[in-house]
Amino acid sequence: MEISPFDKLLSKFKHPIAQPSRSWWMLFAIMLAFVAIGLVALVDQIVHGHQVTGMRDHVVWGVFIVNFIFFLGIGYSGAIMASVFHLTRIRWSKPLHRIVEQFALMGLIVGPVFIFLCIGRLDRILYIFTYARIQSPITWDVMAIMTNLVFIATYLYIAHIRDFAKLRDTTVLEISSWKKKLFEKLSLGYTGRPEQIKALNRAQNILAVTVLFTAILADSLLAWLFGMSLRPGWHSTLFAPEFILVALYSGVALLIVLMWIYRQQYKLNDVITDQHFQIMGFTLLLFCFGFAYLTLSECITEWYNVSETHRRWIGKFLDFNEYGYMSLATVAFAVGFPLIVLVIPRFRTPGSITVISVLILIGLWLKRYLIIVPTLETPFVPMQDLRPEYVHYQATWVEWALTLAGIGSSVLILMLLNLFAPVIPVADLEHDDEIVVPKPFYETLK
Amino acid sequence: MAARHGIPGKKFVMVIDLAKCKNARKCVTACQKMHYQPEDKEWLQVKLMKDNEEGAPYWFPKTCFHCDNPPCVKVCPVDATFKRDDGLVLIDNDRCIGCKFCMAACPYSTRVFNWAEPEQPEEISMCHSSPETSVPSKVGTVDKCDFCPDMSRRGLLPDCVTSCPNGVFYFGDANEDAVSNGTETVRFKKLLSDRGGYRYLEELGTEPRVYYLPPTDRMFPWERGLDGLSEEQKALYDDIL
Ligand code: SF4
Repeated sequence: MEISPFDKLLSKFKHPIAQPSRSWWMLFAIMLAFVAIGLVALVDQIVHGHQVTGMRDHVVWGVFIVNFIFFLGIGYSGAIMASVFHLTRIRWSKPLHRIVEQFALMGLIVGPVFIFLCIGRLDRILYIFTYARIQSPITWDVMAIMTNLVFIATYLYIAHIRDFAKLRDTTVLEISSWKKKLFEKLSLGYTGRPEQIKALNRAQNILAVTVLFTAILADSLLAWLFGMSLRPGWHSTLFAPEFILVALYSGVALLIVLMWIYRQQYKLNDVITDQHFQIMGFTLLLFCFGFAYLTLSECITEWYNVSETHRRWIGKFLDFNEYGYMSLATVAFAVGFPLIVLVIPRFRTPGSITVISVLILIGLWLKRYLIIVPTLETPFVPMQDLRPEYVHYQATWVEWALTLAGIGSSVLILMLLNLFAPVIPVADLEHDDEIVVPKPFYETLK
Repeated sequence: MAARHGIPGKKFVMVIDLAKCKNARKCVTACQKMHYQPEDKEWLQVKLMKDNEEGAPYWFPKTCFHCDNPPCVKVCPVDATFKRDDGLVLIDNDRCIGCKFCMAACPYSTRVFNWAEPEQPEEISMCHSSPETSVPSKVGTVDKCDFCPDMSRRGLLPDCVTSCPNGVFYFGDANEDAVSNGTETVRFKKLLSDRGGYRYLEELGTEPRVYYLPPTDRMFPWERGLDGLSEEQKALYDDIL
């Protein structure tokens, strides 16, 4: 019997869906080790208090909050991209849908963990609900994150149903019986009947619209958490659009990195094509211009005519004894190098676009650091403190170990998700192929 | 709970006379003693300020300003820091979850965090905490100057006021229009208008309840405040001078 190209594609995911390979287990073990190191640090922090971190009375938040913003940015951008891809029915984007949906969930799980790490009394964490005060931006953020998490998880599940049904019925993979049973449950009896297709489509449309709006709103709320304070560097009307743009920029970069990894791992050259890298490379370029524009706009207005405290703050970005090198690195990684690689056609290969994406991710992490720490180090009242650690923030091993654990758990989440479904929505591709031209979403609204 | 509502009929205010301060730091140590705080935890700080190139330096004692539009209270997610009817902004450290958002929000760097288990006598750490005494401190929560409402309830002035040898601090009630530095009691409004009282960083709109009298006709040259300081401590002021 001839096997269809889609079954062939599905069979590429034999490892890990049918049987995780040895390298899968090895990576799994390494990532678990990362998380374990983080747990040791966490125990240290719980036993000895927050003094084991570099945070002190002026810089009350450090790397934890930087990671919080970074991972939430990944999550929200994944959510925004997933819904935009779905709603616009861009056909070439189909193979990328699951990747963005998965890291949306990952970001929204890992990000909030870092805010818990900033909290001095984890034993009282439930007070956030029992004594909730609606005036506090923290309360807004808690609600926004939880809402988004629920929506994204539901969306991810619905987007999986067709694949679960395919995995339930497939003969090309030898799937263990417990997993088969699981797929049977999860696929909710989907067999591709017209009314099922319609219901699925409608559910996905509604959720995609909801996710789009809530993710934009939630990322803005995150920005307002800082924007609504009186501090120089934070009290900016530009913050919400900037947060969203930076988030999307990092999301596209992460998408490219994952595209490259999965393409290598599963030999997907004919599904994730060079063309995909080109298109995403151009998207990157667009965001790169946007980022450069916002950065320029922010710096020039802050530098040209400002109060004394603002001048002290902005001066730190130009001073090589303060944040000069870090600012330079941010601009080089997130603007300079990407421009060189993306503008010159000869350099625009999948490999180099991926390398640039890694640099962009680092650059945008540094950008978040520059948003948080220099502002906290520039209070209105002079510090005049004899204790150097109170004047200058320096992250300790505890913070770095927990950052490592954050990376580890992100990878773990993706690996676990990949145990249960291919990273390419195979059944969706097949389905698309059958109906050839998908209906745009506005027609389903009628 | 009474500690959350305040002392009926009162509106506490403080006036700090910059013309009389010579960085004697008796207020700082008295505050630390009263609240069982170690030497490096200062709820009340004395800074050296200089407003412009040509301006003369002056010593600037800084308490919590108990703002009428307090940024810290707005942001607290659990109502652990709150504003009372008598004007005070206090912290319930049995409620505080230690998110530090109030610290990031306060433009005056007033708040102090307990980064580790606080060092205080055992009998103190055992006692029941109250927002009015701010004692005992608790790990993972925020502390700050509370204007000593427990003293006010007993009809006494806060310790920083009475311990200052130069009568820098005037504390009192705006409703009665009277403030006292322990040796003299004066009309609050008249004092402000006679001496050109102002509030620090008025433009931020936080509406502090602490007023400053500018350092004119000084009792001491500002250099007196450097007496007895180590070279290291003096070096802290290099930026300013
Ligand atoms: S640290 Fe405590 S008092 Fe301050 S905002 Fe958080 S919960 Fe409220």
